[in-house]
Parts: sequence; C-alpha cells; structure tokens
Amino acid sequence: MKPIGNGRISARQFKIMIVFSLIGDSILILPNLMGNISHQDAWLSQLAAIACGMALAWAYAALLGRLGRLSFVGAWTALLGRIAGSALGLVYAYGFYAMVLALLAEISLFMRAQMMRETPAEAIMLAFLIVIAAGLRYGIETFARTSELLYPIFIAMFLFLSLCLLPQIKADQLLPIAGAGMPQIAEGSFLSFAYGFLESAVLLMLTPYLEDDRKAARSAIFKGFLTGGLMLFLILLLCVLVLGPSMMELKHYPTFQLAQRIEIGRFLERLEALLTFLWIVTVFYKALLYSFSLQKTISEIARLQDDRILAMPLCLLMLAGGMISVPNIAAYNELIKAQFPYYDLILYLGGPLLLLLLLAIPAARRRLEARQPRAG
Amino acid sequence: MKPTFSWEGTEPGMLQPLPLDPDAGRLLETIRQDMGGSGDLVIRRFGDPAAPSPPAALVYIDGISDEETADRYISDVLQAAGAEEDGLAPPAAAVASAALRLLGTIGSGDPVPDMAALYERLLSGSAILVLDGSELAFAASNAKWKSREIAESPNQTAIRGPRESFTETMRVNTALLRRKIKDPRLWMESMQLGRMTKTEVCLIYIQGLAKPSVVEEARSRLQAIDIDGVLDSGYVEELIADDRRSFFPTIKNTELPDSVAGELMEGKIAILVDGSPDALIAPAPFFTFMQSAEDYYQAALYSSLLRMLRLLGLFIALLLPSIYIAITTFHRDMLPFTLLFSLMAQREGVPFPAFVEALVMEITFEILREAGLRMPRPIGQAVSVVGTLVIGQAAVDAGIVSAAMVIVVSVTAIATFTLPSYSISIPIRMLRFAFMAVAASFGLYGIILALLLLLLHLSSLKTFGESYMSPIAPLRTRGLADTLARAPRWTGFLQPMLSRRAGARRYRDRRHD
Amino acid sequence: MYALLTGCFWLAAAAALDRRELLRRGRKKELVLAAAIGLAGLLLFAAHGLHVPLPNPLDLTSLFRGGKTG
Repeated sequence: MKPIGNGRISARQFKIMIVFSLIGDSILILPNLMGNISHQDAWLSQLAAIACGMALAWAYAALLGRLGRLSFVGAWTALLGRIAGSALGLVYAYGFYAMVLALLAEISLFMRAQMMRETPAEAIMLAFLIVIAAGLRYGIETFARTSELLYPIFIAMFLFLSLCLLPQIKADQLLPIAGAGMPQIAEGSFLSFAYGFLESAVLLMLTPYLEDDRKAARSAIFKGFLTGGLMLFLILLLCVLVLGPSMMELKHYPTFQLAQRIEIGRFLERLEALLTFLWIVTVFYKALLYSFSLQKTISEIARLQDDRILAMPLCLLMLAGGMISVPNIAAYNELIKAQFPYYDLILYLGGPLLLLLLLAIPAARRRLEARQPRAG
Repeated sequence: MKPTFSWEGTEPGMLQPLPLDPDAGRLLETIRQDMGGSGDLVIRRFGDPAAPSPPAALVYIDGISDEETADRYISDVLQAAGAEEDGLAPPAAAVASAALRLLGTIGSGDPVPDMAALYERLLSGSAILVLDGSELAFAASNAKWKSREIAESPNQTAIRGPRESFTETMRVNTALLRRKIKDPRLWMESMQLGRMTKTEVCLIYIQGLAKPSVVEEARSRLQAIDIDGVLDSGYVEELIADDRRSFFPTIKNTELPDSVAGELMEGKIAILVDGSPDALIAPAPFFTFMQSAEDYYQAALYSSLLRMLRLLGLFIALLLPSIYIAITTFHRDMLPFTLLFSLMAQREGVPFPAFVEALVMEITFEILREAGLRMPRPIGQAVSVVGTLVIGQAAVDAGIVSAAMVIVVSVTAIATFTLPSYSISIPIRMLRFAFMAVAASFGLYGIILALLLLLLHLSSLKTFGESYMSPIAPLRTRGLADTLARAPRWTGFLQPMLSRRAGARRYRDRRHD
Repeated sequence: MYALLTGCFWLAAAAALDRRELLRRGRKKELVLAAAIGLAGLLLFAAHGLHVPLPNPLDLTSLFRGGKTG
C-alpha cells in the first residue's frame, strides 16, 4: 500500500473549506436562478434547501466515518477492484474537470460582463489558473491554512456588506409569502440544494488528509453546511428585500447589483469590490478543491507516489478546456439549468448514497478495512 | 631561499596541528615568518637579547591584547628571577620557572600543544608564553578590546522603554541580557563560525521554556554552516532561514536587549553574533514583525490600537498604488461621481497612463530614500527635502504627474514607515511593484488573485517548524490576544504561546488573590 | 500562434519548477503521465488557437441526463 501524502488538515480548516466550496459560485448565480423560479420566495426555498442539506450532511458524515483513510474514489476502487474502480474514477475525474471548466467559464463571463470588458477570456482564465496551479503545488496543508487566514476576513466583509444593506430594505417585497406556489418553491430549493450542497461533495475526496479526530471532522460537515447555507440564505433574503423579485429575474448577477446599491452617508457606496473579493475567494476555493480532487483521482487511478507534479500540466489542460468550452451567457445559463442538476444528482448524491448502502453490508465494510493505507 | 610557512599547503582559515619547535629561538622565528613580519606582532624575550634562544618569551598581538598587563608581568618575572641592578642577566632556569609561575597574573595559563592552537589563541588576543626546550607553550587570555559605548539605538527608537542597545562586542551583549534575566536557566551555547573569522556565535534560550525541538533545530542549522567568514548576523540569518528562496523574513532581528529578553521569556531563542549589534530571534511568525517592544510598555489599549493601525499601514503600503491604478484604469464607475470628476480633472494633461505615472513616482521615491540613507545625516535630510517637496511640487506644476498620484505615493511611503521592523518592509516594498504591474493589466481581479497567491505563499512558509501565519492559521485563540491586540498583562493572556510548556505562567494576579 | 506560445511557456515553467521531482529515479510513471497531460493540454490549446473545430468537453455532461441534450 502506498503511503499517505504528507498533508494534514484540521477539522476547522475542513469546515472552512466546506463553507467556501458550498458558497462557491452560488453566491453570484443562485439569486438569479432562484429568482426566476421561486420569485419572492427564494428565501423560503433556501430554508428548505438547508433542511435537505442537513440530511445530506448526515449522509456525508456517515460516509466519512466509513471511509477511514481512503478517499471516495479510492473506496470505490477498493470495493470494485482495479478495473471497474478506475473506470468509475475516470467518470469522476471527468466530473471534476467539467466542474472546473464551468467555474472558469463563469469567471470569464462575469469578469468580462462586469469589470474587465476588454480583457480577453484567455487572460482571465490564465491568471486564475496560475493561482490554482500555485495552490496545487503548495499542497493541501498550505491552502487549508490559507483558508483559515481568509475566513475571518471573509466573514467580516460578508457581515459588513449585509449591515450596509439594512437601510435599503423594503419589507413589502417579501409579499405575498409563499405566493409562488409550492412546486416553484420546491424547484428553487432543489437548485440551491444541487449547486450549493451537492457540489460540496468534493469534501469526500479530502478524507485521506483529515486529522485523526473523526468526530470533529463529522461535526465540521454539519457546521460547514449550516454556516454556508445560512450565508446563502442571508444573501437571498437581502436580494429579495433590497432588489425585489423582478430585478432578481432581470439581472444575471443580482448579488453584484446588491453591492452596488450600498449607499451610506454619501461616502460609503459602490462596495462591489468587496463583493468581488468574496466571490473570487469562494470560487477560487471551489475550483481549487475540484482541481485538487481531479489531481488526486488521477494519481489514485495511476497509483502515483507524487501527485503534485501533475498540477502544472493539469492546469494547462483546464486552460485549453476552458477556452474550448467557454459559452455565451445564455448558453451557460442553459447549461447550468438543464444539465448540471442531473450531473450533481448522479455524481454527488447517487454515488455517495450507493457507496453508503454498499457499506451497510458487513462484507463490503471488511473489504474496505483491509484496504486501508497504512498510517504514515 | 623562499621562506617556508607552517601553514603552507592548507586552505585559508585552516591550520595543521604541527608540533611546536622546542627551540624557542626557532619557534619565535617561525611565528614571525608565518605572519609575514606583521607590525602588530610583539615578541618580548626575557634575558639576554643577543642570545639566539631566550629562556622564555612572551608573544602577543598589539592592540587586541592588553599591553599594560604584559608590561607588568614582564617586570614581575624579571624581578622574581633576580635581575640585578648591575645588568647581569638572570639565570635562564630561574626566568623560565618565574615566567610560568607568574603567568597567572595575566590570566589562567592554558597549555598550547600545537601551532594551530597557538595561532588561534594568539589571534584572539591571548598572550603566549614560549619556553625554551619545552614542547608546550602557554596561553593566557589577555584580550582587551575597546568596544563602542552602549548607546541608544539609532535605528529602533522608542518613546518609552529602555534606551540601551547592543554593541559590536559579544561579551557586552551577553552581559546586557544577563543583567535583565537573572536565572541560571538562561543558557548560552557558544560556537565558532567562519573558517577565517572564527566568529563567536551564541545560541541563547531559557532552558525549560524554549521548545527543545526549536533549540535542537537551531543548533543543528548553526552547526551545519561552513563558510569562510561571518561578519554580521545577517550572514547567519541568511544561512539558517527556513525557506531561503522566500523574501519574507522568517527570523527577526533587533538591536534592543529588552526586546530580546522579552522574546526569550516567551520561549523563543536568540542568536548573538560577535561583531554584530543585531540579535536574531526565532521562531518569528509574520505577526511578530508587526510588533514593537514598546507595545508592552505602553498602555494596553493604546498598543492594541497601534497594532491595528500598523495592519492598516501594511495594507496601504502594499496595495494603495495598485488599487489607485486599478480604479483609474479599469473601474472608474466604482468611484463616487464627485471624486471621479476631481480625479479625472487632475489627470487631464498628464501624458502617461496611471501605471507609468505611479511607477515613475515610486521609483523616484525609492531612489530618494536610498540616497538619503547612504548620505551623512545632514545631507541625507537635504536630499529628502529636495526630493519630496521640490521635485514633487515641480512635477505636479509641470503637469507630468497628477497631484492625486503624489498624494498616493506619499501616503504609501509614510505607511511603509509605520512597519516597526525594517526587514518586513523590504518584501512589502518589492511586492508593491508586482501588485502595480498586476493592477495595470488585470485591475481589481488581478489584485485579488495576487493577494490570494501571496497568502498561499505566506501560509506555506515555516519558521523553525512553526507555521509562519500562526496564531491565525492554524488558529490558536489564546495567541490572538497578543497578535492583533495587546492584551493587558493582568488578564494573563501574555503567555509564551508559541513554544509553551505546561505550567509556565508569566503573571499571577496577587492583588486579587 | 499566441495560444501555442502561451502553452509552451506554461510547460517550460512546469518543467523548470518541477525539474527535480520529474526526474527523480523510480518515478517514471509520474513523468510519463505529466508529459502526456501537458502535451494533451498544449495540443488542445493550440488547436483551439488555430480555430480547429473541437467538441465541447462540457457537452458530455448531457450524458448524465440520459442523452437528451439541452
């Protein structure tokens, strides 16, 4: 058995990375998507999504306890054998790759629409991937520590932005409560559930690096899901209260509009730079975790001893893929509305639940026990 | 005939342990020849000056050895050996025995077995007694060195707190520390570094308080140094740093003994290098560079505010020019209208893009700063006055740069001076240019990405096994009280956090017990 | 052309940064895999730069919903 990589992350770092990947790009795109579906009841949808998210957290936490020192893909390989496991691993590798491409597309779309109109998409992706490559090369221990460094700044900025919006609130925009109808609310909550919570499944690839305290790690999942879910809830609520449902539907990036609305005493206005910071941090972490999982999956399939040297070539591959696949904003919205929910459901709900079911069989559990990598 | 030297065939800094010539005359000649007849080498023979081999002789280096003591010793020896008024030479045996007997008046006489040891003692200031017919010489420590007065540090000034600072002499510096910490657990391990300079280096820590792994790490890193010479603690700092390619300092340096004593009591280690007034302190996480010793002498609340002010200063020093460039080039719509109008009105007629303008101004400022530093102080001040006031005003009047840019550059420069440690301001100043370039091509997006890159780099660093960004990452809640703020002493929060040992408490509240 | 240059530069940087790890003995598999991924990236990027029509990798996500596109 191969030795475990030398990185270790604490439960707190694990929680923070879950929060970041959960908020991820959702902070920017979710208000528009949900505004289109559940209108002024987006916040209700989000509450329902949080409830589902906690159930999902339970499933992931249970799985985390079973996995031991194996990653999600590693566990499948241990159960199914080398060939079938590798095939499944490739599917997941593609899944992770596709997610990074989607995030890259989103970054280039957003930046070119809102901030850097004349910069080519290539340059925007390249700049982003340089930082991703650096993160991958420094390794998980380093970027986990960086997340810890960013977290207090992140929370402070988030709360500051929310507080600054309080004067703009128009409470009547919430009305009529639940007027959108149950099916709409459910559909909206499904979107949030998929983009926020399901796409945090990447945490299952980090199990080999967790510190030994599994109980703390399991509660980190709950805490992370709850924190991230509540932050998204706050954003959605503010969107409804400040912008109103019609603006949410109209604008592609309602959160950005939200930050532009801030105006306090004629000197504190236009805080979209802060929001951009928040968004880049979370998208960066989501993309970084997915790239890391891609790298980890490939190295597990090929049984590499050192996966960091894949960082640079993989980033070039992502740059190429990002450039080939970059859609226009309409196509992108179609993509995330029509295809990504299924992708999320199959890969990040179906896969883990199936594994959890399999591991309910004692023989499967014993097999997994036997294949644990030795402590290193 | 070409003279032969006893160091022939060895590398500079290395000597062979050749045996001593029992014949005193020949030995003295060898020493004279080995040193090329240097003028500061003093050889004082006892007895008949004409004799080829004196019964005994004293050898020392003028200037680093105490001449007065040597004089007194020689006259004592001659008197004890029974030198007569009539000028008759005393008997050789009596001279030799008296010389050996009285060597203790200079210092403890250590036997010197070979040439290598002889030179090592001789060149560090000892007086060497050479005896005819003996294969052993004797060395007595007689070093005397005029050291600089203990004076106020010119570089690290304080409003409150001890003024004295380290000098270039190791013994003075260790004495300064001993006077502050009177505990036998203050251990000082000496070693010699530098093949030619044979510089004394001292590893100082409080046994039982410093983490053993850190002490061991420091010791092994020091011992691994193999270099021809060490002229300043900067040499050592560079060679024992954790990540030698990073330009962020992972070792702190200070001239203030009180600062070193404080860090030692927090469980850190200090390294003193003979000939350097800067002590090294490790481990040094990033936030220690944002603290000054004075923080602990002033009122806690004030110090806490100062620390936050410095963080703001750090932020401004690093980012202000790049944010200005980004906003004026890419994100004009982010500014409130009135501000935008006044900025744009100023920029009208400025022939360069904001990036070039900022670059020119920043480089000019760095030139002025460097010129002011290297000049004698009165001229240096003149340079900065001419530079900042005259050139700045003229540049604005001529319409080459906008007034706003002058303000930005000046604020940035002043913010740089709020950083209490010079060594942390160096990477900040360098990175400023990188951030400006990134801002000019990618705007705020680039700045944010570059910040992420910088934070990634910072969290990858280690300082003697501790992570560089502690106590924030990884988080240690108790450590925060002495990082972003300075907790009052009575709260008991100022504990040795980094290398804490159970039970070590710095303060007990007796008033309320 | 531009894309080709960027890609080459990127791979050169990769080789320079990871020189020691890439050439370590007993790590042949790593080297081969890294080179393969890097070259694939370079080729794709260059092809895209030369306007060769390439299938969109994101289109494969439609497989997850049972082949129905869009």
